[in-house]
Amino acid sequence: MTVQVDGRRPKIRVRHLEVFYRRERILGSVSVDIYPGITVILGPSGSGKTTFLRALNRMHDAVVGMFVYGKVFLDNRDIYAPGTNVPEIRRRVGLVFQKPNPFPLSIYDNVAYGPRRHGTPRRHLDEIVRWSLEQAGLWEEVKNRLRAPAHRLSGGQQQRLCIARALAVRPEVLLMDEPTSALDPLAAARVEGLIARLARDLTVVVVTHDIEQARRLDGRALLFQGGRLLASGPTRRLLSSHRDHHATSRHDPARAT
Amino acid sequence: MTRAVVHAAALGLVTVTALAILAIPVALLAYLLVKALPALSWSLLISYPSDGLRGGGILPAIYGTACLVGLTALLSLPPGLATAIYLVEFSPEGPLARLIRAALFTLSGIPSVVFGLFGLGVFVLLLGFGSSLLAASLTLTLLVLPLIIACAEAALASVPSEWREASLALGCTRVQTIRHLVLPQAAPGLVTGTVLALGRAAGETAPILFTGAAFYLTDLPRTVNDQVMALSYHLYVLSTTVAGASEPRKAAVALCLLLLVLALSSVGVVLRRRYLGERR
Repeated sequence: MTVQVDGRRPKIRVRHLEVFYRRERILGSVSVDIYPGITVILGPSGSGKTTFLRALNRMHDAVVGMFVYGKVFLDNRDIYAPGTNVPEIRRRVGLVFQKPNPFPLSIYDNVAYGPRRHGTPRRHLDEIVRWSLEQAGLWEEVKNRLRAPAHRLSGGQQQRLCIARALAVRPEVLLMDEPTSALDPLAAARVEGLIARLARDLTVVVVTHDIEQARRLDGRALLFQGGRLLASGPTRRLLSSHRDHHATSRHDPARAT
Repeated sequence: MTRAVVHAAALGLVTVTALAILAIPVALLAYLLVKALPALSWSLLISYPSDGLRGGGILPAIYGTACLVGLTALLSLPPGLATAIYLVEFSPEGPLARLIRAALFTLSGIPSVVFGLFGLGVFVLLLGFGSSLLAASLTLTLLVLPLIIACAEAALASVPSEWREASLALGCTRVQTIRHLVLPQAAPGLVTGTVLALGRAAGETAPILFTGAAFYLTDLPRTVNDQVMALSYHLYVLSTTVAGASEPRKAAVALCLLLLVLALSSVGVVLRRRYLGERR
């Protein structure tokens, strides 16, 4: 039942995923495949985009009152199966937040935080920090002040630092929750370029409310509305066929299906 | 009366009240200082009492209070921190957390003399610790625990949840997140809260009255099973029991106690300042 796209197998297969907050269903049954490369998640506010994203690395576990049902296969292993090592899942499936949230530590210690917790020998840390910062396109700007507090960086730099921090534990999938929405246009453009570059090696899933950004990032898209997956497919095709729904449509065609 | 007059009167009233509040600690300190002046000397701080407590120094009382505060810190910090971590990090809204909060609320409303009697009944008699440094410190621990837990809770809760989420999203366990991110960030607040709570413990008389405070010791306590003299109890004794204790001497003991508590509190304030200064 898995469809190959460009000869690639899906990295994540979501089956009948439902998320409840207390008694209320806030995301309702979603089944979709996510392939290596870029997947953008589109939809109006409150449509379930972020809820879906956070279900992909079990971030809802930490929230009291959140219940997730269904299956999410990461390379054929259900991450919601009993006995799953959740921290291990989160190491493989990283998450970058909407608002840059560096730790109140130095630039270096922010990037080294994950590897240190995972027992990386001290002698490898310099190399990992450098590699991660290079991947995030931040190395040249900070290489002479790695010991400076991270909060002295600009917003855009902080977001790239957070991306470097996420990359430092060598994830296979990177989830990003509107990673550019808190940034000014110039910084947003840099991060956007970075996302496109990362998607060459990783499976990147980006939530955005910016249709133009989705168009530029290309790849595949999932369109959410009213807590349901409305459509999925190649981004350009999806955008041209669902132009009306994405904007401000009130009715919910997904319910009819 | 016009509106302006009412306004001026109200402003005057609140200003005078605020100033009066400020005057209380100043007046207290000045009063004690002036009264104690004739009795103040270095030997007061470093020698043993003599002449049936009427003369000599108060070293055993100062040392005893320090022991009580130190042991209370050792006894109250681990369970206090553990409870706060449970309340903030593991079950902020669970039924058990609600029960614990209710218990703490009750505990914090109990008069200190009741703790003293409880300590006498349980630690001194039932558990057989006798009247000792240990029994007194345990009793003080009960007294300060609600305060320490409340401060520790506030310190832990002040660490933004975005940082916890970021740590979890990197594949760190909850325990790693607490150990390597939350606790280091909350540490200054934890220290501040502990110090303030200990200031409270240092000044209490009632809880140690029946549980470990000694009237007169010619030697310093060597183990936790020994009784101790304490500044607060010593002041009480001088004021009520010892006939012919000089007024300056009483004032000097009171001043010592006050300065000790003030010193502890200001350590807390300085730590808090430094912490906030670093954050900006």
